Formats: sequence, C-alpha cells, structure tokens
Amino acid sequence: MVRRGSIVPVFFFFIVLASISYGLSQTSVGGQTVGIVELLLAPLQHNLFSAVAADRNDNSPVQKLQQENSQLRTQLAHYQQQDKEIQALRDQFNTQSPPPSTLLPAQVVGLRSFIPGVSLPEQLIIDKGLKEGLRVGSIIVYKNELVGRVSRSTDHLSLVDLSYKKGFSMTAETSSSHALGISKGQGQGAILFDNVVLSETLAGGDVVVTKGSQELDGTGAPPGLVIGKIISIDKKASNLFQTAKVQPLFDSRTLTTVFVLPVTK
Amino acid sequence: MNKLLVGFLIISVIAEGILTSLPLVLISLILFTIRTRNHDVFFYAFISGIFLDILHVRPIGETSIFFAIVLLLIFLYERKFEISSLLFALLATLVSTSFYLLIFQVPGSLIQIIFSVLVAGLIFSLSDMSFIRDKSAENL
Repeated sequence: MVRRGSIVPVFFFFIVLASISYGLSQTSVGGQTVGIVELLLAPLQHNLFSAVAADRNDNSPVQKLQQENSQLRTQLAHYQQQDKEIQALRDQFNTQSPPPSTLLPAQVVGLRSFIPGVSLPEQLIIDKGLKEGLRVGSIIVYKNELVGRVSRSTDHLSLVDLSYKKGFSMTAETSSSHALGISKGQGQGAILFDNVVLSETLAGGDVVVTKGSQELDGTGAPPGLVIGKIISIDKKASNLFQTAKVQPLFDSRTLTTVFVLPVTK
Repeated sequence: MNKLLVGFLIISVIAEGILTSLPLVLISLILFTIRTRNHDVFFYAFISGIFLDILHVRPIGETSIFFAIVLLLIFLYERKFEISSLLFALLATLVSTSFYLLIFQVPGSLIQIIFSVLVAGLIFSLSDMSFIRDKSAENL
C-alpha cells in the first residue's frame, strides 16, 4: 500500500483541474477539442455498439455456429450492421411523411440500459450534433414514428430522450377519431395518453399521432408522427378525463440508425 | 491486484460509456481506493470522469468532480476507521451510487443500486482473493 502526504491538496488539485476542464469546454476552442475527441471515439463507440446490436439479433443456427470463430463473427457483425443500415435507409425512403429528402440519417452510438439488450433504454446517443445542424429539441424519427427528442447536444454527439422516457410529453391525437390529449412517457416502454375528455372516443388498437408542437425556433414535432398504438383504456364516469396506455411501435433495443428532422425556420 | 482493478476500470469506462447505465466506474474507483489507498486514484477518477462526460454528452468535468468528492470522503473516513472490509465496500457503494444515480438522473435507480452493491461485493471478493495471493507471494 502506498501512502503519500495529505489528501486535501490532492483533492483540490483535481477539483481545480476538473473546473478548468469545465470552463475550457464552454469556450469555442475547448468545444472544438472535445469535438475532435468525440470524432476519434465515434468509430470505437459505433463498432462496439454494432457488435452488441448484432449479438441481439443472433438467432439463426448459422449465426450461432459462426460464434465459434471470432474473426468470422466480427466480420459478420460488420456486415449485419451494414445490412441494417441499408434496410433502415430503404424503409425511410419508402416513407413519404416526413419527406425522406429532408431527413438527416444518424447512427446510434450509445444505448445505455440497465442490462444491455434486455432492459429498455430511456435515452440513446447519436453521432450527430450541433455541427450537423441539430439542437436541443430536434425531433428523431424512424420511418414515420416518433423516436424521441434531443435533450443535449455537443459538436458531434447528441443525447436523445426516447418518447416513453419519464418526463417526456407532447400533444397528441388519435388518428381515427382525432381525440385530443397529451402523450406522457412513463418509462420502461410505456406511454400514457392522458387528458382526453370523456366525450371523446378511444378504441383499443387506435394509433396515436403527434398533434404538432413546433416552436418559434423551428424545433418540435410536426403533426402526424406515430407515437404508438392504444393497448388499454381507462375510462371512468367519475373522472374528469379518460386515459389510455400506448405502446410505441419501434423496438429501441434494436435501433441502429435513426433520422433527424430538420429544424425549420 | 492493481492491474486487475485498472483493467476493471478501463472495461467499466467503455461499458458505462456505451452500453449500460450501471455506475461501474464509480464502483471500480471505490474498490480501487479501499484496496490500494493510493492517491493516484484521483488521477484515474479525473480521466475516467472526463471520458464518461464526453461519451454521455455531459458538461466536461462534472463527473470528475463527483468522483473526487466521493474519494475524498472515503479517504477522510479511512483516517479514523478501517475501510478494508466487505461491509464498508457495500455501504460506500450503496450511498455513493444512490447519490450518483440521483444527481445524474438515471432512470430505474432502485434496482440499479441493489445490482451495483452486488457487483461491488463480487469484485471486492475477487480482489480479496487476488490480494491474499499477492501477500502470500510476497511472504514467500
């Protein structure tokens, strides 16, 4: 065991160092340096994440046999990742709303959940940031489904709150009856469609879409993005409002490519 | 043993940065402090904190400051009490991960705190075996 002098000066040295790092990261030069580090780390993040994402889809017997050979497995993971990206791009370009030409594809480089691949993540990190035109409030979609909203952004990375994260809310309506309400994230893949007046009609299986909540600065969701489908309804005559449980249609554990809606001014 | 803990720290930075929301880096820093009582752990805390901040899109330095405060408290406690016990490792992990998950607003905190304590106990026991083996080798 090594013991050296008093602990307090060592502590203050690193506190000052961390504070200087914080101060520098807020300046343009510091921000650029962090941006360079982000760019350097992005391939590592992407490759590691792709390998795990490929593992999650490892179901066929052929793939199970290939696990015995680590080199082949690495190549396989790489090809699978490419396939998924191509598939995601095809799906997106087959979707007419939002118009594919206006979307910015982004790779998922971090998907932190309690048990990776098993428990649902509430946030994801994408490899696009301020330099690519994203900002806090930018909307992330997959096909015509609302995936989430950017909550923090640096030069080349952004943190996205998924649509079912606790604290995430947005005005919404059902696509068939146009019943108006608020979609509120409940965590663990659940959304509550709340504040729907009793006179409105809700039905199981109905699709809930965004009502449109664009801000003056151009951020926010356009109308018509799919939030999820209604799986159960809670309607009591004694309550002021009725509510419904909504399930998102996308599987956040397998997302590798998502799309950013441009900020319109 | 130092190599084992540094190895665990590096793996923790990568895993916590990309895959899991468990505070693995904090756990490894606590165990590193308990095992080695070396002030170098502040350096590891600073570097791993910076990397975590970059990977988690947080303001740079935030995590390092939190780690440094936790380590300072452990070192101050160590002056008066014995810290090389499983009970202390578990308690320190319980308290610090609770604050960590609360401050950095990680969802599903309760189950993660329990899991973190279990992981800390496991790693502490493993490092215990390694520590005893190192001591035996030194005596020989």
